[in-house]
Amino acid sequence: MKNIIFKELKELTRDGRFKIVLGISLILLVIASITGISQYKKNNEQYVASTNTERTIWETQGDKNPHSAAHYGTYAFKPKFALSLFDYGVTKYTGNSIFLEAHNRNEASFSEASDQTSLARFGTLSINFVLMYLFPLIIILIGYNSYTKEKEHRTFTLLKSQGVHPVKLALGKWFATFIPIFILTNLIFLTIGLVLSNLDNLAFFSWSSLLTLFASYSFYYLIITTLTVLISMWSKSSGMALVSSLMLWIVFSFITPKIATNVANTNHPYPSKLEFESRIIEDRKNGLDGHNPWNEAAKKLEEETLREYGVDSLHKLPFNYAGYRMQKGEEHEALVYQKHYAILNDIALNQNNTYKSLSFVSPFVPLRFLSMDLANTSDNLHWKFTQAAEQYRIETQKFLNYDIKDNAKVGERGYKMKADKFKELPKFNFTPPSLSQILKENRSNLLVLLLWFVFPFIGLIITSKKL
Amino acid sequence: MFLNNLSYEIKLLKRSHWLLILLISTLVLFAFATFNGEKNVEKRRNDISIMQNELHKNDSIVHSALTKIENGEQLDIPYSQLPTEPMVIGYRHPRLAVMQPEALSFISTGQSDMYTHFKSPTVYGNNFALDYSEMVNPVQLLFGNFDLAFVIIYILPLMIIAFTFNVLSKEKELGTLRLLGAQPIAITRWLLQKMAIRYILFTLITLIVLLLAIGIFSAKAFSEPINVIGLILIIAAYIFFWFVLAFVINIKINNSAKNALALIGLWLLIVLVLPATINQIGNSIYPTPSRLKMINEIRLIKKENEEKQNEIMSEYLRIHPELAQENDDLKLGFWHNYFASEKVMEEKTKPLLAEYDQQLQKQQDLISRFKFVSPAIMMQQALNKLAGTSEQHYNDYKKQVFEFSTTWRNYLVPMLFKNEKITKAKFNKLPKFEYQNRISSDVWINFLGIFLMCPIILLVVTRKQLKDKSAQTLSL
Repeated sequence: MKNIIFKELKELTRDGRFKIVLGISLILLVIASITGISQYKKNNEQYVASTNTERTIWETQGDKNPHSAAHYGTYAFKPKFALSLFDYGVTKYTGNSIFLEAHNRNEASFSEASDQTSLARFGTLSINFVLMYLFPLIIILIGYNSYTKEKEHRTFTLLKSQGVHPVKLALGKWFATFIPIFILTNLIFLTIGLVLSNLDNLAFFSWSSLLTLFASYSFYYLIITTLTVLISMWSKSSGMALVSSLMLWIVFSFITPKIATNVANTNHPYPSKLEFESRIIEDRKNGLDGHNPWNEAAKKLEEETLREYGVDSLHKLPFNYAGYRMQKGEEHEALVYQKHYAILNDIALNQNNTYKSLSFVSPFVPLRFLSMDLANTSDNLHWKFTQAAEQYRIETQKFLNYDIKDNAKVGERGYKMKADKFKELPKFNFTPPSLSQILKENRSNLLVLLLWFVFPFIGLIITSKKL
Repeated sequence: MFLNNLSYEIKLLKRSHWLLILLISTLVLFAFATFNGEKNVEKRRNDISIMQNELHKNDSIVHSALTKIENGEQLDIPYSQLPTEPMVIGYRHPRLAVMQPEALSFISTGQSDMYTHFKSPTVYGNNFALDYSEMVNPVQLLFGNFDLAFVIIYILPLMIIAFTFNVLSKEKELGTLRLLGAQPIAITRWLLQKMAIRYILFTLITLIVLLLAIGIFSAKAFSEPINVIGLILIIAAYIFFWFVLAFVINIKINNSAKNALALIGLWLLIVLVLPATINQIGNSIYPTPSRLKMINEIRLIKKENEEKQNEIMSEYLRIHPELAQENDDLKLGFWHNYFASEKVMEEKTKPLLAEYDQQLQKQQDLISRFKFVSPAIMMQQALNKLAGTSEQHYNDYKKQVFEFSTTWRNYLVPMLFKNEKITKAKFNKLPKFEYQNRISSDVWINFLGIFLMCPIILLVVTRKQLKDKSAQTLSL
């Protein structure tokens, strides 16, 4: 088997085509890394600067009415994650900042893609672009004729006559197809790791996530290798083998995901933004409005509070009722938002499940999801970020409303919170999910990838014996 | 000789079932893509009509309330919701600014999955900084749609490659090339004829199938014959480009397997690698101005503005004396104050936003200049423009909505300050938004761009071989 591997690899090094393709891929990788790192640095600087500026703006408001400050609001910015320079994921399509104000839950605004030309829709050259689209092609290029060339040169019978075990022959060819890419992948990930760990201001970099990414990509290459060699076994000519493998590559990485988009859109359509908003307005009408004391729910709250404190009028309460009611109203409205955003998230999950159910047609899909989840650039992470921001919004409101509740005199109109108090509001803080949690959420993706390897590999072994 | 060649070629193609395969695959792909495209457009129309119905419903409520008020009936509506007040109509009952799909919108999703197609600009609030993004699962944007544009830009070239990669090399590999060389026709000429025949067949089949698919799923498209002709021409040019490439590779390399690999490599370069690389490098050299920084700056202005609010008012009244009335009414005082501060806010953020837009425009212009590097990019731009889903269309829509928001305000605010009330008659005559497609389709520029590339490639790469009638330079 060693001989087989050695011979195949030697042949490969003599192949000019392989060198050209490899050279192009490496150039692209270098471009992707350089531009990626510079963009990451720039974006990260902007993130840090904006976060600090916003905080300064918040802290230097001076003496101000807390509710006025609540309307003025603040921003939550999404941090840049180290591995985002490896895989941009959906970051281009999701906004990076959320405006947090009283009474309203806002969407993340200003996505990068909406500021760019439609050229961006062709995709962006990133490291994982090369790894995901081009490397499988290199594998196909190496392996498409691994068996057909023996048939075409009539050396296959010769090989068999030498008493090579067919499974060993198959495994040898299989390894020989996989090894070059595997070595390359090793080097690339090692470089990424070293570069990343030497960058300043790096947020949330972990070697274990990088290692998991490396393992996922390597595993995907194993799948492609197995399929390529298998197709080569089945094909009569190299041309046929090449065409079939390429077809498969196109179906995997372009056609299936796009068809999935259409299927998902048809089966689980998103509401339009205005429609979504009008549903919320509808629900808010029936809810408790912090500004409107004549609302039913507010009345109930009033009665309950009075009963709880055993007094007969709001003036006799030990705190300012207006602030308390405002906060309760805020929380009540937050429930409306929570409900509608949960519905929205369900639609998104159903859509993503449509993609995942098409994983059985394409192993590219589970890898795509896994990769962006690991790089913290997925829609899943964005959802978690928006949830954290909403939580922070409610806490901020509570901080401000309870200041009214505790410090403002009853019926006082021009109450102002002390300037220093703004500093007491905790800063917004978002930590991404841990690696084990990400893996747990990606169980189905991992399983599908495993199946994509196991079945073709069994096919490979069985076919090799029949040849 | 040409007729000979023609009849032989057709016979050959018929026997190899190539025509049948081509017919079936184009039929399936085009039908599915057109169907998908039409479905997306339908969803867009559906979303629009949901909103229109809602507006209609609200309007009839307002209408009946106005009727009651005019009849002198007492209504149980709080003052802040009274429809006779111009500000109530202006803020609570805004009009819908709708961007209806074009007749050809189904051919390309373009940017339509990212932006909203309706907006309701209100009489106050930040109309100059509206967010036009639509609610969408970002994964969908990442993977893209299976629409006609995808089939044409990505898949058609692959079919052409499969159709042409071995036209010459097959003769060589079968050993018939030497025989051909003995015929009274130059091999390059013979190949040219053969390719031309295949080109015409391929284009005819594709276009007929395309028209058929459009006729079945989206017949409305034919109401814009000029755009349909533009579509046909640009597809013909794109197919032509790939045939020229195949011709060049056939002459230059002339080995079936190597031909196929070279052509696939070119496909990868033109359709995938070049656009992605240009996009990435372009964004690094000419970065999109930071939205985060913009947010910070607007926030600072807002903060300053709030602090100064009281001083500003007199200044505003100085500029707009027609609005300054002797009126002690608290309400008007508030509105004066409000619009004054909003005006100042708008004036102050305007240069900031303008600068931002300018920078953005510059970046977009620079990047779109790169489009001539890859016919795939030109094709995408052309199809998006024909479909009315290009970024230019959405930028223009934003502009139109902003213009409308000014109209809306200019209609209602004077009413407020003159203390006029909304009546039924006035309610029926509120300004309405009408979207106009003001972007020229530019299909001809892209058509020429793609078309002119072909002779250049031909001349530069195969000059020697084309002159050389004896085919010495061909590796026989």
